[in-house]
Amino acid sequence: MPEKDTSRGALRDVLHRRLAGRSMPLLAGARFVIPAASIWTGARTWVRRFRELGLTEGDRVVLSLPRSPASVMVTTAAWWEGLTVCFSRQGAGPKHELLRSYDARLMVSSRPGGHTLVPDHAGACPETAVETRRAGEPTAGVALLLESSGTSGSTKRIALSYSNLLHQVVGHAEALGIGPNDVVCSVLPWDHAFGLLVSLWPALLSGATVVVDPHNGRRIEALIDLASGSGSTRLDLVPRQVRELSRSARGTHLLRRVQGVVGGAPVTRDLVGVLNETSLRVGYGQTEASPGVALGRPGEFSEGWLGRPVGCETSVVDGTLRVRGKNVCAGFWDDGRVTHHNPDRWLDTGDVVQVCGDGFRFVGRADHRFKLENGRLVDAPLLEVGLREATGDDRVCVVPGDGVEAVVVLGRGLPSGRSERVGMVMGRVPWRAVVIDPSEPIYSAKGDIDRRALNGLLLGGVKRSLAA
Amino acid sequence: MTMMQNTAGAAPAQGTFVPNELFGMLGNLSRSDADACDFGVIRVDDAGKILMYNRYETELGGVPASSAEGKNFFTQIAPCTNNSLFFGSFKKGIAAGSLNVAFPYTFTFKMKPTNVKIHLYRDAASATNWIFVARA
Repeated sequence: MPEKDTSRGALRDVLHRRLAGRSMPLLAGARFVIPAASIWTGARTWVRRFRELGLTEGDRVVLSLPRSPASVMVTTAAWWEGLTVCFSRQGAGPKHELLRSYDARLMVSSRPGGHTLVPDHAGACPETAVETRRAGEPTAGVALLLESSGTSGSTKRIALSYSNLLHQVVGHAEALGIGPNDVVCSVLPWDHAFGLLVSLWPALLSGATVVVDPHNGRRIEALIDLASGSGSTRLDLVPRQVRELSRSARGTHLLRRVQGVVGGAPVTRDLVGVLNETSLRVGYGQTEASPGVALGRPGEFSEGWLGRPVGCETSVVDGTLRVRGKNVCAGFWDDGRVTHHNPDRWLDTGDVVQVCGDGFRFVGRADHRFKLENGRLVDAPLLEVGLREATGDDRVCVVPGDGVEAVVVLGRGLPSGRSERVGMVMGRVPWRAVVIDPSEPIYSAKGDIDRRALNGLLLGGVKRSLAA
Repeated sequence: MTMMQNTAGAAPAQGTFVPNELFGMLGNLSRSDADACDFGVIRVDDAGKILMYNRYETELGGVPASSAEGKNFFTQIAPCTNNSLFFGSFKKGIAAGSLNVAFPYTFTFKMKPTNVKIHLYRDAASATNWIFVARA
């Protein structure tokens, strides 16, 4: 049974208090500047239409829009009405397929189609006729369905309740200390938990100005111009963007000037020095945790540092971090329905961590552990920590080889004398080393090693092999 | 966001919807001149108090000139402009003695968001301040 979620009423209060008739927050893009008051009246046009169409609590609406006022208006209206918003990346697939896969009643998109409304040029609901789709069981209590590619690479659709949503956006707005004088440069996509629930909505509900980067952080020089020109005080980034910004003096200056959260992937050794000289802070979590689990302090970075828990309980079992609290997702969308899970459960993050004081350091993924054919467990994440130290190679990883040996994959050759040190780290695990050219496509969009791609490469024969 | 920056000397800004000839008339712009414009013309003092509110703006916003004039534009007539970008740009320009800023904005008219173009302008010769508003 879905949890009785009284948070929807509280969220309504927050939305009304923060948006109705207010001059702030302000949402600004290349072609729009819209104050809260107009976001609110725009949302009202969507509320009226949802009611006319007979949409009720738990009905699903697919949202496939660019980062725009319309996206915020539709989301506000849907949450006001207790609908479930299915966030979809633009161009994620044919409309009918998206509607079917979410078993949704309606889609809001910038391109017309069946069961679809296209916002008018100001973001409000159009007058055009639309027929809603017949759909199955409503997902009452579920505020949003978000896709997560997950660290394992398999896509999941995660159901976040109104309680999850409220806890996340209000809690993070407070924890991050965002205020009406902040100008938040929005770089991250809004169909991902980090961009939507750590960056955008905490800023909006804090009365800040949100300036939307039209290039999603992909054009670094343009991002620097935008953030500088708009006087941005906050910038939430993934490590890859930090790395790209740090390559220029202007980018480094920007990094040192702003506050914000660096998350989405572990902070690697090469970025620690850069980040220690900023007021940015590490943020750790996953979509299943709404996504916020931990935050670091401004400028507090070290390799793999995840920060301290925020608004949730944590425990470490067999080296793996578990989380419990209001941020733990309500369930998962699968086979045309939401499978609800006990909201008081411990969520296994699948992340192997080391406890460091009152916080955690990322070691690796539990599912990167493997067994050799002789049954010996290879704790690859732990070995990789030692190997990074022993080889000075940040790209090193340990994967299954043929039969009873592990393969130590390196990004560059081993200098003389390092082989012995690798042997000491590997201990009793039989191993051989291979070097894979860094230009090989084995890195994920987040910048970490895609082990499935790596396995494919290993099966296909690697370029060079070193005798262990 | 696309913004024309303040420019010293406040020459008519490029790309504005305000006709060039109007800038030369601002020191002596009569109510009937303003009412003849097919965009909103609002004259305000340095604090934002409305001194002139033309017919177009009355029709767009549904507020009669007699009700608007004497009130503060940023805090009483269009309080959704009381933010860092809109009122902030105005105050910054007034303090600098040079105001020539244009940007898109979304007002709410008749309970519906409406995209407009805004041009904030200070006529140095006559020391008058203007808010021009046109539907986008």
